[in-house]
Amino acid sequence: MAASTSAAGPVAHHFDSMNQQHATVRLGMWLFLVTEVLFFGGVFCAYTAYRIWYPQDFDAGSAALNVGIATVNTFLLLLSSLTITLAIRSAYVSDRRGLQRNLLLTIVLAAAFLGLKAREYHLDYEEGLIPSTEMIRKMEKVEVVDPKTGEKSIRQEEVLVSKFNHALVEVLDREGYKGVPGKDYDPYRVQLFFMFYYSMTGLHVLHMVIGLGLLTWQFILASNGFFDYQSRYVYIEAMSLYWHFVDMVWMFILPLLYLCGPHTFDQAVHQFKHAIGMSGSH
Amino acid sequence: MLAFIQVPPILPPQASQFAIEYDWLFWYITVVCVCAGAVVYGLLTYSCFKFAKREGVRPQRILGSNKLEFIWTIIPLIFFLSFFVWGTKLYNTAIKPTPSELPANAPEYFVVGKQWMWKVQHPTGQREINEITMPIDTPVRVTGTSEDVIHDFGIPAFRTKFDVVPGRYTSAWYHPNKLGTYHLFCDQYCGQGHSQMVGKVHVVSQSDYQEWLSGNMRNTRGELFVDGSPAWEGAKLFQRLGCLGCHNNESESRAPNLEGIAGTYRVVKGGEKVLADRKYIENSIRYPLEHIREGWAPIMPAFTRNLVTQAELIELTAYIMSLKPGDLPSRTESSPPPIGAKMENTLNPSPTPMPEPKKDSEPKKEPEMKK
Amino acid sequence: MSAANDKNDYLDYTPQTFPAPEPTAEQDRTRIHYLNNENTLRSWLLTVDHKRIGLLYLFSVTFFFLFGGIAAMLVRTNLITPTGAILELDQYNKAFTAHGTIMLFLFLIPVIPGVLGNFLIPMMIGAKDLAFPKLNLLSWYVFMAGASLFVWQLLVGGIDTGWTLYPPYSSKYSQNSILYAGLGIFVTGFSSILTGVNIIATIHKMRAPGMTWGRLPLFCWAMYATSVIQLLGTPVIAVTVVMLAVERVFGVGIFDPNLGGDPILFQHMFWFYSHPAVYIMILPGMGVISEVLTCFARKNIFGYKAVAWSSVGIAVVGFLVWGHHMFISGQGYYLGMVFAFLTMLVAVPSAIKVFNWTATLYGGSITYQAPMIHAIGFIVLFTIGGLTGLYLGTMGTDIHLHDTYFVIAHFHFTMVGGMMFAWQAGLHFWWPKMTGKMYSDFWSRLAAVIMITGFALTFLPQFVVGYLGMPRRYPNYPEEFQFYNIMSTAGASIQGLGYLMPVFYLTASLFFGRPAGNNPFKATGLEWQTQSPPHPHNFETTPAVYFGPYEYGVENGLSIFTNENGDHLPTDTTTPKEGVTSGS
Repeated sequence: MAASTSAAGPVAHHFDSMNQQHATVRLGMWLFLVTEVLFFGGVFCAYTAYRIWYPQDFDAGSAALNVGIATVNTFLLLLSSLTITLAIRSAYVSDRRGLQRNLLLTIVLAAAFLGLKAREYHLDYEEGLIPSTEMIRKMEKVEVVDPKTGEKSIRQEEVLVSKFNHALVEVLDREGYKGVPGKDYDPYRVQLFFMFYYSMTGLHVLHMVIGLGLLTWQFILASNGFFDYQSRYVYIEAMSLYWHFVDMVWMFILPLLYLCGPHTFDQAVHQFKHAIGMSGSH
Repeated sequence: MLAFIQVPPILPPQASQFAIEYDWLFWYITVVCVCAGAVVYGLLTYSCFKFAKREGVRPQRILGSNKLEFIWTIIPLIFFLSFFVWGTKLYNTAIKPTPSELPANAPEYFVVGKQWMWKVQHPTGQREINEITMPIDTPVRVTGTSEDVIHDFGIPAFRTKFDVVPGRYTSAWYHPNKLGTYHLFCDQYCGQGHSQMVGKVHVVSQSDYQEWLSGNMRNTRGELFVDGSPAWEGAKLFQRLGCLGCHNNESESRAPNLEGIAGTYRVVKGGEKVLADRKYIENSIRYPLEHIREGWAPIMPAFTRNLVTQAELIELTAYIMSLKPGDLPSRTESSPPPIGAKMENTLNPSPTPMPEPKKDSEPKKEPEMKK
Repeated sequence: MSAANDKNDYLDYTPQTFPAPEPTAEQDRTRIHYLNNENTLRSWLLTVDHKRIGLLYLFSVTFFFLFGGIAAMLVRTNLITPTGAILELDQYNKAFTAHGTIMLFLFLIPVIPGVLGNFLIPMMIGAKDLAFPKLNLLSWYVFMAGASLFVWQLLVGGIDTGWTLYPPYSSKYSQNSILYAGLGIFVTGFSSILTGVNIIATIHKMRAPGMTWGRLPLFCWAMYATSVIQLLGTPVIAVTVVMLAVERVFGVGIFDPNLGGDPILFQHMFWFYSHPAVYIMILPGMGVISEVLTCFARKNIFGYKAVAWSSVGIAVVGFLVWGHHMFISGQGYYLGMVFAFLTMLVAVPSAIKVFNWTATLYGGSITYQAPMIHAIGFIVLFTIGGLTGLYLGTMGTDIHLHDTYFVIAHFHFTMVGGMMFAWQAGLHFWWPKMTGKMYSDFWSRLAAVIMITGFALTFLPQFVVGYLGMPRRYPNYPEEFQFYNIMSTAGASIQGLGYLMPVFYLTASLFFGRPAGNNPFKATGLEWQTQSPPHPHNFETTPAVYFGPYEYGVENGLSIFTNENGDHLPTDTTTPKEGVTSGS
């Protein structure tokens, strides 16, 4: 059984038929995605454990996130899932132009997602929401009671506060969050939330970057006529499986991280305006 | 070196009630396993000899037997489940002793593991390092935590061990029933000195234990207090009245460190030098605002007669006079609350309240030793 | 690329019959096989031939095994005296961590899947290669990258947390290069995952016609179960190591109780992978034993279905029992009960296998070459390992035995007495197929006996000293335990000698061994129906399969057993077809 070449495309040397090759490629990609489910599942489980232990703290952390950008990103990602599915169709009917167009659209949408994500991280950095053990000095009003005379007086004293806690309280103030630090939530535990936020979104970003690279590679291949063989559409299909998975992970991250709090639509709009520089208030 | 190898023991000593119950299960499992092994090895040996290749003898064609499969699935399963049931019962005894096994008012020892030592505190306040002395035939509870990494308080002679985890309290109980000295090991890897965290468990008679209690008070440098001294009583008062909250040896303390002040000259506000004798100390407790140390704020409350009786005043003074550098225990305000605890504890800068010990003295903490 | 170039070359070859005829001396010297079809360095380092990749793995894991063995000798030598003979406390901690991590991650997990799995699975199922040959090569490179990083870290500083990496020690207190070592483990894990993907896809999609699931060799069943575990378990350790690294770098306490974290969460996540990991280690070995026992007893396996399904059962239930490593940790009481119950359930399939193997020997016609000695050693030692696991899985008895030398003895009996001997059995069994040469009968049998003796002497005393209470990971210990420790070290030296011997006589066989022929052990199995060493494409034509995998007693397609009329009785799975020829 030689490696047969036909208009459909060459079969790899170790396969007996094109069907076998296709079935194997699909199975391989599904198996890989199972491992990815477990990978993200591990960190999601740890997050869930802490969320059950510290509900109010994670609430507060969630309120400090930029749900406006996340909303836009969600639409971008869903749209990109559509375009890549259309790309499969283009490859199946050997429509090179259509394939290029759809792949390019997916790439553009993914890049837009990543761009907005970068902006979101930048805003977080500017606001000081980076978990750390750094302490900064602040002047604070302290009430002092004279034990002999019982007189009360207010003094300005320098106290050490955690840099993150300070930043968090400011952000939540600006968002109009109703909790009181120390009573309703513990800023130290919110650092834990932010650690999960950066880890989970960071891993997702990493997967998107890899996907972006693969999409670009497929785009170049398509431009060189690699996918003119109709049977090679299966590789676009495998790519789309991966891409849909990345999308699915985001659909878990969005509610787990961004939506688990007293967010209102106004807050989302407000954050989006602030994100694109239209703040003009606060 | 080889000439001095000790004759090795075969079995560990059985020094507690739990050890006796434990060993029953252990030997039961052993008997079952030996029988199972005998069956397998017997069949194996038999087959290897009987069915070694012989000229002219064909191998038999046996594909399997559902009946045998069923038998050797069910029988092991039954035995394994018997292990599970008995083992769970035994575990239950270890974790949730009944009131007859461990009475509600049983003495409670506190154990703190830190790299790389065990700090043991008796119910009556005595402290030991790397040793624990117990009276025979008295069920006791031991509660432990860790100051840094996970350790494990393990006593093979009692057949028990429990992990001590930072941020939470775990406990076990013992009912020693044999006099002697036994090993105490740290049984969870904790770093360089893991094998140095070993010690001794002394099970002594009831009378010996009472003697030990009264005669073995040591401060942090291992020196004995005088028997039944007022200073020892004063130490308890010093903590109970909260003096340690301000008069501690930390850098951000709110009051002067009282270690080693006896007999020295103290500079007070106004530049005057005053000798720190017993009268000075008694005065400072009763009327703290009379002489204020230079450089400190006038914030100490007065301890009047209804707070501190005259007898207690003498004991407190004796303690303060006896303090030498390094004697004061340090507070651990960064002691974290266990998982799920209320939040006030994490933000309150005053010391996290430890669980109320049954006796009136609080567990003392050693100064943090950083690596 | 060899595949592209010689696609048409095979037509020049003599078509093979089933079974393949023995080569003449002339043919043996001149024919082309996978080892001599190309001989440049590039052809080895850029090969996509699964057989060559199997050999690449062989060189790597042997190298890492020797490394881990040196660490073991350091540990055991140090324990000769109660105060530590040759190492400082810190060095000892690094030594036992190095031994554990190297042996587990760089030897036991990749050895049989990487060497024998890669080499044999396509041949056993009648395929020309694995499903994704280039991915296979990538798998080896990823393994080498991660392993090299990891070993380099061990050499320049070492990690001293024990292979279990428990925080808070590993996250806050240990001063060593855990970050890069963890990265090494992370990368090596990807190799495991990719191999698993490859094997599952291969077994699903590339079986020859007639090779139903019921005719699959038990080695393939075992590898399939192993690959499922690799797929599902390895990502969890990957993400756990990532979280530990994040905590170390940024100091935000995921596992630090002072900052709201929970160190027990790490233990749960770590053991969720690490318990199935031990099944990744042992299942392939069990597969090898099924192959070796049947061949040397000249008998079908007793209870094929039971053995096959017990592999799957171990893989599935093995994911549900991780908490039995944590009975003492302070996890909840009822949670512990659930894990203890499931642990008793997972013990049953292993017991079934041992009984089936022993029954396979009954009524056979047994010869005792080196693979068989190793296989019998496996049964003896793995039984002890499995039985002692019962003590540890029972909550009550675990209290005393946890973290003592009893645990160490238990897992060495299963991993070394089990897996290592299964690996030796497999290596010796398939060596003639892989290299075309036969090794010395005398030296191989002697080495087997030395290994088994040394092993028993090393680890049997450790049960006693563990029950006495000697904790693990102790560089020094109370004096009364010295006698057992010396016995153990003496055994370890003998064992070490035993492990070195194959390196010599197997290498010698490459130069001085007599040609092995296609099927020196007269085994069934599609891999033995090809030439030794195999052709680059394994089979010229895809074979068709008519029989079950262990049809000892079948010659020329017909059962050797006849009824009273002289009619050949049917073989187990189907009535015999009329002779079998090549092609189809």
